Amino acid sequence: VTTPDWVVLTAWLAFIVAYGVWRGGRSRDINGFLLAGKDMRWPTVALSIMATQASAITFLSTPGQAYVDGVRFVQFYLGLPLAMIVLAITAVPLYHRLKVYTAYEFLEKRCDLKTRTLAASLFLIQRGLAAGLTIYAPALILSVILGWDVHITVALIGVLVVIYTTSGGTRAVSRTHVLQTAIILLGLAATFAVLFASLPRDISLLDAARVGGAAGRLKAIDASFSLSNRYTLWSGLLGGFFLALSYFGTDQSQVQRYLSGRSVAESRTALLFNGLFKVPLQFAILLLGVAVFAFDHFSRPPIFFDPVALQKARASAQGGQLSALEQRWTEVLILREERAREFARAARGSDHILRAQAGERLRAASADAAAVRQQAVALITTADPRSNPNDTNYVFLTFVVRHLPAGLLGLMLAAVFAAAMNSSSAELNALAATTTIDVYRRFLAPHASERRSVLVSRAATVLWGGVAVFFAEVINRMGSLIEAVNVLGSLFYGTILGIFLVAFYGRSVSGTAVFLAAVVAEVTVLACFAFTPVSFLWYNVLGCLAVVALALALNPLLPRRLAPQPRNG
Amino acid sequence: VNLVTDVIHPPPAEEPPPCGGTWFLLYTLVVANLLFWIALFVAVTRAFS
Repeated sequence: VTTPDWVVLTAWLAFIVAYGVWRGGRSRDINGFLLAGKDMRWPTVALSIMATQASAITFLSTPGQAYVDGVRFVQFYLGLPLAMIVLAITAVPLYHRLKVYTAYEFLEKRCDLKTRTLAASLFLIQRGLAAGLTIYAPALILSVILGWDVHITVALIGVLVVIYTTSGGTRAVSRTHVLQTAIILLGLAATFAVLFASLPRDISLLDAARVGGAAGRLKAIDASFSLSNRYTLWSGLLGGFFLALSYFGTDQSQVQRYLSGRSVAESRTALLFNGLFKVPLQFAILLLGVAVFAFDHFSRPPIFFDPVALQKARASAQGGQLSALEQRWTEVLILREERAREFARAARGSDHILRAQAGERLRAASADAAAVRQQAVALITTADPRSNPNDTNYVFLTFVVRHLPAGLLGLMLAAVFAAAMNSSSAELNALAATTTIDVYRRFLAPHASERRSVLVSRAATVLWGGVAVFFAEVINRMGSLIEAVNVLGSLFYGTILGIFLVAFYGRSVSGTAVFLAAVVAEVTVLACFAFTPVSFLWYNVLGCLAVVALALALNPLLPRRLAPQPRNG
Repeated sequence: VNLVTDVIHPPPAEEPPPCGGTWFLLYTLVVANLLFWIALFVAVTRAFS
């Protein structure tokens, strides 16, 4: 990291905080602070929705995922556009007409206070802890790449986000999202350009794509019905649809984004815009990973992408063996490069047999390289059992640090910080909204003045920022970060989605039935987590189905007087 | 606002989309766009496998 990079990075971070404080203004009422006065136009809301979802860890992990597993992960997003249509038609007009600040207010109007409180509490626990992970995950990777202590990067991200989110609330969050998304897209485009310009002269873009394809990295669609295969067309369409319904329809960090729209039409259009652009955006990020993968056939990538773990292993008792393996690694890479050129030449011709043979030889050379790498990973985890054998999160930044010219590297690092700050600011903003509306104004001070409520919202933002940073500081023994994020979300998402589904579509189900069903479902999910080997992805399905089934079963057994009275107004 | 029927049978949108066109056109565009990308992914998978 050179001086121009530091200048670009520092200037961007200082600018975005100042911009957030300036554009956020000084809201004097709760509508202004939590919903930006409901005067946002659809392009701002749409970019804010996209920026909230694309956290830094997604941004760093996705190219790495494509590097090792190909682009099939894109199927995960195929259900999202359909969910956007459903939410645009149903949830958006309902939330707008009810004039709610949080999604959980709807639950009290439809069910009862205890159901609202339960859903809000689950959100606060889950999102409060997830906010720590959202900060910690990119902070860890950036600390390794920049050579900083992880506590410094955690504190830096946390403090910067808290400053402008506390000052300007939702308006600051949405306005900064627009600029931060712009720098992320700019960084990605610059990386694509550098990558393609760095390919050897005799290797075209099509050649690079063919090399990626020969290794199975361009298998985007798997139409099989296998239940054991995590990413297929069907699991993406169906599972992705329910996941997107839950996340965009019931998670306050997203609901708050589109509630800040000027009208139902503006919010709807923003969600539909997300439905239009999410799939191609994710595909582009995945293609970047495949491009790095193809590029590495003509360069010398390290044997392991986490530089700190590699350095530790070199300095350990396993250092001698690792050194021999690294020498062998260079040899197999030279052979793999030769095979890749041979395959590219053969693929340009029309002789299919020659092409197939060259493809086989390339795959054999790649298998040799993978075997050597596997041995190195075993040595690295022997040298330090706490090392994570999964180094995919470091793949993309390793390329960036090794190949991007001075200045552009700073831009890319700024983009990573931007992605981290985008999702963190939306989370803190949503946590503050839920704390103020569903706890403070509902239980502690129902008649609090607007001025006082804004003050409490600001205090809640700082408080949750502190919780997130504290959690991020003590988190480093949790193992795989991506898995931790997903496990945490899966513990609560199913139950919350189940509550909203019954509230939306269960015409005659009473609030008490929903509440009891949700409590039993959540206890069941937590018991599954603690006592069974059931994979965490199933918790979402289990929690949701349990709430729906139990609520429908319990409803006829409960006294009739508890059935909800439809309210008109 | 009827909390149950508004979700099951949402009232028609009063305003047209701010980006122009009609809501039906916009929904169709989202579905067509999804189908386009799925078709493209199938083509990429076949071309490079």
